[in-house]
Amino acid sequence: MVLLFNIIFQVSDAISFLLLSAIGLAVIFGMMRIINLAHGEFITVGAYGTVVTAKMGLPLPMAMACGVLVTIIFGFILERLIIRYIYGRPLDSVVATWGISLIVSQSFLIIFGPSIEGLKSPLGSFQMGDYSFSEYRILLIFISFLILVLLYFLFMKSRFGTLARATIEKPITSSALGVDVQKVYTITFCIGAGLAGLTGALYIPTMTCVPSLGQAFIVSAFVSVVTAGASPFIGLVPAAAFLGSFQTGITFFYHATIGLIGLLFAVIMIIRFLPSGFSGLIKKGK
Amino acid sequence: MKNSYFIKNKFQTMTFLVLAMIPLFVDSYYVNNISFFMLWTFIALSLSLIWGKGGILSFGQAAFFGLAGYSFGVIGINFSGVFGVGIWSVLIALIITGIFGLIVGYFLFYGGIYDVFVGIVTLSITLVFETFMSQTAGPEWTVGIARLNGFNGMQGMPSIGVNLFGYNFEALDNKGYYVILALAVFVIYFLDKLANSKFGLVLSASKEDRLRVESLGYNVKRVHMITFAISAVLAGLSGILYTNWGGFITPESMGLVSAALPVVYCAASGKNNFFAVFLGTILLVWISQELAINGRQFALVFMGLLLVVATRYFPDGMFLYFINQISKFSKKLSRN
Amino acid sequence: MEKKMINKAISFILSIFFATFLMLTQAQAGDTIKLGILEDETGNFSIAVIPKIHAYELAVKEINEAGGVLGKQLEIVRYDTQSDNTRFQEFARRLIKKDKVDVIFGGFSSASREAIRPIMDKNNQLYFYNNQYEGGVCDSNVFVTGAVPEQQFSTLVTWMMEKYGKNVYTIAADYNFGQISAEWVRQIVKENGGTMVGEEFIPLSVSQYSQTIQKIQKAKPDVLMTLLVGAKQASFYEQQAAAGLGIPMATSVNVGQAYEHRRFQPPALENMYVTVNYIEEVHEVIKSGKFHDKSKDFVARFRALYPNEPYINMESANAYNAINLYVKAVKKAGSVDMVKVRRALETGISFDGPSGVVKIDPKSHHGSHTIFLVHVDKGHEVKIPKIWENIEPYWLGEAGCDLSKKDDYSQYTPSNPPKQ
Repeated sequence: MVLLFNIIFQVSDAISFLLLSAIGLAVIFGMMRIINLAHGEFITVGAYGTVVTAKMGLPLPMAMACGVLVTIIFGFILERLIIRYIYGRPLDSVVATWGISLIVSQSFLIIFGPSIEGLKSPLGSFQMGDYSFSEYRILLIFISFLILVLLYFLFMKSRFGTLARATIEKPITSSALGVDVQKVYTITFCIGAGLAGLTGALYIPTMTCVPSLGQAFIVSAFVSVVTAGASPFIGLVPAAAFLGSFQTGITFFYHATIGLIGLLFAVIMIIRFLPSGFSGLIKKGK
Repeated sequence: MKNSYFIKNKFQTMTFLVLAMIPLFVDSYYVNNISFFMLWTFIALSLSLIWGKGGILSFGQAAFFGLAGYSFGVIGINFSGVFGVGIWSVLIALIITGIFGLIVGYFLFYGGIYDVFVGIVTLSITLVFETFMSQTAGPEWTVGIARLNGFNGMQGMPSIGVNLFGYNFEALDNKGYYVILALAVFVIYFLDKLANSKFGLVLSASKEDRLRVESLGYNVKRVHMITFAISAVLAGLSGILYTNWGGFITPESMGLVSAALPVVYCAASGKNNFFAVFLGTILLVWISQELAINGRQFALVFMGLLLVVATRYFPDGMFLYFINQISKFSKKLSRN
Repeated sequence: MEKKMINKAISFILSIFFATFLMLTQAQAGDTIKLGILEDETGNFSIAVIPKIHAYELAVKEINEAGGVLGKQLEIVRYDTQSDNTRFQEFARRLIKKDKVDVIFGGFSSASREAIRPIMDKNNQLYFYNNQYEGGVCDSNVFVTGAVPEQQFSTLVTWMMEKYGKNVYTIAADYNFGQISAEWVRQIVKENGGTMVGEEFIPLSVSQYSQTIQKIQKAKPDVLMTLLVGAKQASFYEQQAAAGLGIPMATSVNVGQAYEHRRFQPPALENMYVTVNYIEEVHEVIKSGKFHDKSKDFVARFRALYPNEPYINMESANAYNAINLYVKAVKKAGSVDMVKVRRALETGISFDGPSGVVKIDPKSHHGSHTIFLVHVDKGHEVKIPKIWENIEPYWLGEAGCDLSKKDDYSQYTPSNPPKQ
C-alpha cells in the first residue's frame, strides 16, 4: 500500500512538473509557433512577482495571483514592442526571444542581486510508513491536472478558443471574416505568458529564488510540448504521463543522470516513430 | 571561373585581403584574438548552409562541435609524437563527425522528421552529449591514455600541426591565423559553389516546397542527409579549431547556450548569405567580448538588445543589410 | 519610407558603437605591480563571487595605503568572466599577452580553473586559485588558498559519524567536484568503520528532488552528505524540508560560499553541518579569543569599504589571504619576477589572515587552514561546535607531489594518484 502510494506519488510528481513546465509554452510555441527561448524568463518573472508581493505581506495565493498578473503585463509589453513583428517567422523568433532572455535574466541580476530570500513551502508534510511527503507537492499534482482541464475547455471548447485557433491557423481568412487578428494574437500571447508566470508562482515555494531559476524548466517544457504534437492541449497530458513515468522508472532503477539521458532518448524516439505526437495518436484513435 | 568569383564579390575579396594583412600591423595578442573570432565562423556557416539554404533549423551543431573537439583531443593525445599526428587527428576527427552527421541525417530525414522537430531532436542529442560527458570525471572514462575528465574538460592535446622530416609546423599564433583565414576563404568559396550547383538548387527549392521537388524526381532526403553531414563537418571544424586554440574542451561547449549561439550568429547576420554570416559572426563575437570587458554587468543586456533590434528591424539579417548598403554606396561612388 | 529611416538611424547608431570600440584606449603602463583578476561578476556563480572580488579590492587598497610593495603601488586589472569558461580563456590570454600582468588571481568553478591552467602553464604565468574545490591540482604555476577535501572531509565526516551514527548516504552533483568529493567521503567512511547505505549522483540541471528524497528515506541513513552545487540543486534543501526528511545533513559547499542559510527561508537547512575555513559569523558565535578578534577586525574593515555586502563568505577570506601571501612573497623575493616569487612562496611562507594562519605547503602549493564546523539550526542560526586548527593539505604531498623539487602540471584524484 505504502509502496503503491509512493510509486504513484513519484510518477505523478514528475508528470506534474513536466505539465506545469509546459503550459505557457504550449500556447506560445504549441499554438503560436514562436520558439520562445525566453520561456524560462517568463517563469522567473512570475516567481519574482510572487516572492516580492508575498514579502510585502500578501497571503500566498494572492501573491501568486500578483505574480501571474505581472507576467501578463510583461507579456503584453513584449508583444507590443517585439513579438508582434516576428509572427510567422518562427525561426527568427529564436534570436529575438534569446535576446529577451538575456536582457531579462541580467536585469533581474542587476535589480534584485544574485538571489533574494525565497518562500517556504506552504502546508506541512505527512508520514506514511518509512516515507514522508510534502503536502504542497501533492496539491501541485492536482493543480496541474486541473489547469490542463481548464485549458482544454478554454482552447478547445470555448468560443474564444475556436477563434484563436482559427485565427492563428488562417490569419488572412479570419481577418477577412472581420476578426481583429492583432487583438486575438495579443490576448493569446498574454495568456501564454500568464500561464508561464503561473508555473513560476506555483513552483517558487519549492525552489531557490535566483534570476536563472526559469532555466530549470526550459528543456522539460520543450520536450513535453513537442511530443504532445499539433494539439498541445490534447496531447500534453499523455505526453507528460509517458515521459514522466519513463524518467521516474529509469531513475528508480539506475540514477538521475541515466534518467535524464533516457528522457531525451525517449523524446527522440517519440518524434521519430510518432511524428504527429501524442495528440496525433489520440486523434487517430478516435 | 575562379577569377570571376573573386572579382564578382569585390567586398568579400577586399575583406579577406585586409584580414590577411592584419598580422603585419598588430601584435600577437590581437592576431590570436582575431583567430578566436574567426574560428566561430565555421559553426555559424555550417548552420547557414543547413538552415539558411536548406530551411532546416538544427540545434545539433554544438554536438558536432563537441564531438569533433573531443575526437581531435583523444586522437591527438593517444598518438602524440607519431608521424605528423597533428594533421591526422584533424582529418580523423572530421571524418568521425561527418559519419555521425550522416547517421543523424539519415535518422532524421529518412524518418520523415522535419520542421521544428529537427530542432528538438538535435537539441536532445546535444544535451545527451553534454549530460553524458559531464559525468565522465572518473579514471574509468579514459580512451587509450586520454582522460575525458568530465565537466572540468579535457586538456593536454597537441596542437594542429605537421611534423615531417624535421620540419615542424604548429598552427598557433600567426601561422594559426593564416590557417584559419585560408580555411575560411576556402569554405565560403566551396559553400557558394555548392549553393549554386544543381545540388544546392535542389536544396533551396525543397526549402520552398519539399513535396514538389520530390515529385519532380529528386531525392530530397538524400540531399538533406548529405547537406546535414557537410554542415556537421563544418561545425566540427570549429570545434577542432577551438580545442586547438585553448588546448581545452569541456561539455559546456555542448550545452543549451552553445547550441543556441550559432543560431543567433546566423540570424543576426543574414543566414542566406555565407559572407554576411562570416563577417557577422566575427563582429558579434568581438562585440560580445568588448561588452564583457567594458559593459560590466550591462554586457548581457546590451547583447540581448542588439539581438532583439536585429530581428525586429532587419528580418533578413543585420550584417547582410550593412553589406548591401556598402556595396550600393560603392557602386554609387564608382558611377559618379 | 518610415522603416528606411529607422534602419538608417539604427545603422548610424551601430556605427558609432563600433567606432567607440575602435577608439578604446589601451591601459596606461605605469610603474605599478599589475594583478590580473578573472572572476565571475555576472552569471550563475556571481552570488558567491562578488564578495570575493571586493575582498581583493580591500586587500589591494590596504596594501597601497600602507605604501605598496618594493616602492610600487598595486594595480588591479580585472575582467568579468561571466561564469563562462571560454571567457576565462579569452581574458587569461589578454591579461598575459596584452596587459602583461605580474600575477593572476581568480576562478570559481573548477572547470574555469582547468580552462585557464593550460594557458598559465604555456606562459609560465603565476596563478592563484582561491576557492575550495575537489583538490589534487599539482601544478608548478598554480597556488591554491581555498580548502580541499582532506581539510573539509577528514574533519567533518569523522565528527558526523561519531555524533550521529555510521550509516552514510551521499547525494552529489554528477561532475568532477561531486564525484571526487564523494570518493573522499566513501574512503573516510570506510576508514572509520562506517557503511555507505547509498550514493546518488545528480546532473547539474536537475531541480526536482521528490524521487531522491524517497530514495534516501528508503535507505534510512544516519548522516546525509549533500554535495550539491549551483542554484538549481540548492532547491533540494527547500524540498527536503517540505517533505519532512529530518536527517542530519553535512556538506562542504553550502553556507560558506553562497550563504544559503541567509537566503533560504528557515527551516530549509535545519540541522546542517558544514566545514568552512571562514564565514562572517565567526566573531559573532565565538565570543572571545583570537578568532573573535581577527574576524571582527576583518569584517569591520570590509564593511567600511562595502557596507551593503550581503555576506562575507569564506572565499572572500581566501581571496584576501591570496593577495597578502603574494605581496609577502614579493617582498621576500625582492622582485616581481615570477620564478623568484614562486620560489619565495615555496619557502613555507604564511599569512595571519581573517581566520588565523594560512601557511603554503611547498610541496603541493596549497594552504593550511583553520577549519570551523558550522551548525545551522531550525531558525538558521549558526553555531560553531568545533574548531580544528592548522589542518594541513597533506594528501598531495603524501601521494608524491613535490613541486619544490619536481615540476608538474596535473590534477590528481585519490583513484588516480601521481605516479611514484
